Amino acid sequence: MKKFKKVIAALLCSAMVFALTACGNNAEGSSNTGSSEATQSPTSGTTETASTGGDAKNIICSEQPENGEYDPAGATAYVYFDYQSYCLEGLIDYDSEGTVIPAAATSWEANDDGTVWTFHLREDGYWSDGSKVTSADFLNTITRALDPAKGAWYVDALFLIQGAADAFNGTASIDDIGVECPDDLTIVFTLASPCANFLDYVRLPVYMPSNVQYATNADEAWDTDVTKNLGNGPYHMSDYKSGEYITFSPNEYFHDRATVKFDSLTFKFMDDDQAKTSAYKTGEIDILTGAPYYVQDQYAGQADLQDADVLVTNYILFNINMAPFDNVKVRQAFALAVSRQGICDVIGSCYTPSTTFVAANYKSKVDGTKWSELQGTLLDENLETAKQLLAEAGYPNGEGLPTITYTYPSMSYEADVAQVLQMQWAQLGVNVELNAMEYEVYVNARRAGELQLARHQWTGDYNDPATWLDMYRDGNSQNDISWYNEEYNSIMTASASEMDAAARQALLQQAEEILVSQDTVICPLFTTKTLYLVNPKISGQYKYVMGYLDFKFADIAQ
Amino acid sequence: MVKYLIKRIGIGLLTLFVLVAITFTMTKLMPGSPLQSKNITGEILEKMEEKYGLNKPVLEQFFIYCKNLLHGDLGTSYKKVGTEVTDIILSRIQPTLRLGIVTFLLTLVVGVSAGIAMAKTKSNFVRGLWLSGLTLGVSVPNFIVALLLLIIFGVQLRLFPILGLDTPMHYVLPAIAQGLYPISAVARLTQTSYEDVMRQDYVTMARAKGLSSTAITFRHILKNALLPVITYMGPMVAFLLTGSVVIENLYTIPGIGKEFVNAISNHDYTLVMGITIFIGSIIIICNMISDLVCSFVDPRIKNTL
Repeated sequence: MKKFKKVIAALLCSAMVFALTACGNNAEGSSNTGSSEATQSPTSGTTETASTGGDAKNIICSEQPENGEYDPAGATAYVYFDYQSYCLEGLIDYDSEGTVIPAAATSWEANDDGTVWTFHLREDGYWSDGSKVTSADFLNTITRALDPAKGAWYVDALFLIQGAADAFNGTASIDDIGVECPDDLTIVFTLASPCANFLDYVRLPVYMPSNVQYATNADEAWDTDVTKNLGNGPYHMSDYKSGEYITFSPNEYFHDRATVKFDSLTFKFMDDDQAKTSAYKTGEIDILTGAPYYVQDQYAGQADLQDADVLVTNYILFNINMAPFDNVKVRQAFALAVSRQGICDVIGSCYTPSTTFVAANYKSKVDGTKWSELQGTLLDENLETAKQLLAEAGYPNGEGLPTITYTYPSMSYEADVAQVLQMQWAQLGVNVELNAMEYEVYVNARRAGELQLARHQWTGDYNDPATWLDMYRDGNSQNDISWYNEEYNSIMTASASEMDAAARQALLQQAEEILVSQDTVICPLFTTKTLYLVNPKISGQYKYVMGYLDFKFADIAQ
Repeated sequence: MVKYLIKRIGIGLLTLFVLVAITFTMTKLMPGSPLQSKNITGEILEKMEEKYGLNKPVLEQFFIYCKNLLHGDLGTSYKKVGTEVTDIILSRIQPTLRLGIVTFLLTLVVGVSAGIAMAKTKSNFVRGLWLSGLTLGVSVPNFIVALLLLIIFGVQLRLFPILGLDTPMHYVLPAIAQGLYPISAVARLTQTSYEDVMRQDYVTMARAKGLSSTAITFRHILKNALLPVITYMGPMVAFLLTGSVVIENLYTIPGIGKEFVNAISNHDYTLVMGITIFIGSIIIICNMISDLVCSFVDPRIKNTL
């Protein structure tokens, strides 16, 4: 035993000596940083050169913690969308004004009612390994997504295509779906029913190409293997470390290679707001996406602070199957008694009042006008009118009303919104109880139609009013309260086959008036924007229509 | 001795099983599903639950899980499709391990030296100063220390980088932030037991023999004084190896602690279970080793085994 004690003692001593040298290294390192940045490791060293004026233009951005796959036909979450916008080129794209422009397809045509869509791919479309982009690559994503075992999150966006839903449910063959590739550069979609805004759908993940040679469902890890995950967009995935970062490098074969200025773009997965803002201050990251709202004050008036309008609407959902909200006058009374500005004053200057269900910042495809200006005020806030409506409904000053509960998920500003609403409704003479729920519980309860008065929020999936208005069509899985209005449904059906943009927009406006002003099933409250901190030397980014800043063709001053 | 070892391993395995059962039940009690997302419709959700076997009764799922576990199969992640849980754990443990080792060594060196210095000092003023410093080190939560270090030395003075663990410089702030508590605890332990041993007869005897002060410190006092430190080292190593969520988040270190919290909020059941088992095993093993080491160092403990 005595020997063993000696061994332990020796071990302890050597541990101490080792630790001392370790500390010595650290101390040495600290004296180095002042004099040269070259001693840093490649990753951080390159960051420095980007901001201090070397030749390489390597940009570091913050990104939310990693989640989901880099497969357009898979479980696509958060970071996937950055991957898509930098590495993949869909059939069409939008420019900074929101106008549809050619991308992987140079031209397209539709038949008169919008059921058959033909796309002609560009001849100079190449993957990052130099191979040609063909129609089979687009079909590849579609057929893989329709495999029920794949678990593609956006697969329902494919159900527009003839036979796709049946193929997914196993009642028809995958070979019989309405997608044909007559040659390498042509792809034809035959839809189950008319869809005038099909072009907006083809920006969704399941319509993106995935290289037919490498992207297979049998190989579940192809999407994180940089030798297999090719890009047909301006960049391709060149380095990836699970949970740490993902790096994009220019696709040398991209048809517009000269417009790609950065040598690399690295997205680091970061969670903590303090960590992100600190790393931006020290220059360790060049672009901070989704900055916390308090940077508005810290960077007020500085070029670093930039923003993008998010296509989102926060609203209240009335449960029309529960008293007293089965009475339209009660719903209208509640909707008119709200002061939206009052709510936004409390939760912060990033929020803007809105009375439209379609995101207020959605830009019309006819003339680029914002939807909020187009529709005007759909709900005229007026406490007196609200009181009168409540009296007409048989509840003067709120007397005789059953207990009313407003349910919201316990997250970020929702508790503040709920308290403001409670105070505002109190002026109506109604005492509303507040009920905070864990987010998951709240979603389940709302979807089961169990909530009397619920907070709701919807971010557009694609750039069209239908992404909101379709939700309350008969039979839609998002129609939590099973609202049915014949006129609304027939207008929405008519709009789907109306190929004239102006006429279609008029129909959608009319439908929204029924939903919000006439039947008041929902009560829109506000919309928001997302904040960025961007190194002022970076220029050339633009606000993408889907509500984010796009840096793919941006440059950095040396 | 062997009997004791077998008994300890048996208890360890039992503890692990209970841990697995409790964690499994708790993940199932959590509202929501790993497959839920904003837009997902009922029928797609059903198909996906079928794929992952989530539509089976919970008890059956548990037995399937245990069966796979006995084959050493922790399953694949729900959110990082196609990635083995073991691969995720192996990649995440590396940064935690590297930072943990640095912090551990820092703790031993600084903690033990500070303890000895405190025990040896004759000035009450210095002693009081040391003591208040240590009390502060023990009582200030590590997220405050981490935040202060980050803001002062990272952002204001720009002395150290704060993003990741790329260079030795990157280790300085997180290691100090993580180490302050164990350093203070070790220093206090060392001081108390050092003072205790200093008054023993055999030390007086050694002095009387005219041995050098260094020889007395290392051969006679420290060897005996470090016993409580060794006992404390088990839980401390476990604490360092399991990673601190706060520090990993603040310094953007892709470690196991951060991954654990992400896995829970993502409802990534297999990953939550995998990390639980992993962390559980580390804690059990560390405690076992520290008990064994103590028994070797102090024969009195061994006799009671």
